[in-house]
Amino acid sequence: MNKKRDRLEIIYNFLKIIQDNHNSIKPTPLLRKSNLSSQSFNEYSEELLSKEFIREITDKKGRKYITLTDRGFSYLQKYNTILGFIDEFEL
Amino acid sequence: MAIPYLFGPVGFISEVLYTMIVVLFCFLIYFKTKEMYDLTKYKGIQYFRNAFLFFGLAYLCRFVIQITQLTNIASGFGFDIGHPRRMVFPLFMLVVSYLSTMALFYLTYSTSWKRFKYTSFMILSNAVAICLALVSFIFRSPFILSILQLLLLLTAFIIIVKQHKQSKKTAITKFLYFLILIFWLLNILVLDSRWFFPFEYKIIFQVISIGVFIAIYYKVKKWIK
Repeated sequence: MNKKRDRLEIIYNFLKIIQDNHNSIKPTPLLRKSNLSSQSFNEYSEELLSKEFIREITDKKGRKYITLTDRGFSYLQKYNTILGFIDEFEL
Repeated sequence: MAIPYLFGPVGFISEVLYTMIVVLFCFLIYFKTKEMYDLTKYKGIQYFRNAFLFFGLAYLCRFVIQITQLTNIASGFGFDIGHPRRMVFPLFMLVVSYLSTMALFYLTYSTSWKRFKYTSFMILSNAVAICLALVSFIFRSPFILSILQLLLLLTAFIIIVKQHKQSKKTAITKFLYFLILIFWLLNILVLDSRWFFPFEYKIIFQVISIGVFIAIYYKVKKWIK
């Protein structure tokens, strides 16, 4: 399978997990559900944070949660469209 | 002396319209895919966009060359506007060569980037593009440029066709790419004063060329919401 295609799919799954958890999930359950190694998980988390697909929020008790940004929602909405475009032009 | 059609108002207007429409669709493709690329940073999309950006710029610069040729003809009728024609033509030939060669490379690379390293591609494409640009500048010959780009086109076509999966949809896309490149070569050939296309044939191939860009844009627009 195309490596870059896997990357897009991994990001999609990562964001989808957050969305499916009412847009708020702690890092540890997210790691478990994402089916990624710790290293990969940290790499993707950092990338998605830096690109503002997700953000970290801390509640009053100091617990960290990860949520989607508008950009993250946009990616989820457009994912199938993007895949279709890539297939259409064999990119 | 027979006045080439470009000097006539109809020929000039047709060239202006043709260039405007092609450039418009090239830039539309480039800008409409911006969001998709910004979201994914997917390399294939980047190279696809670059191809049409470079094509748009190449068509614009090609039009400048035609204007240069027009004013060159006009000066023979006493309408010398005094610009450095002898500098503009070779300079823009250099720019057109580089832009169009890079466009060809990017179009090819957009479908084959997984097979070739980016560094190798950048080195090879820029080296070839600069060589072709220098050849065009030195010889001031659109005919030579079109022959050299034809060789590149044939190589590119072989690479594009030999991709992993073939389907009707991708075959149509590849055919459209092939037409874009062929029409580009014809557009360059027309710049050579020895290649005088009858006006009617020129209009026909311009209309078909526009149709090809519209078809590509339509395929892009289908996925842009």
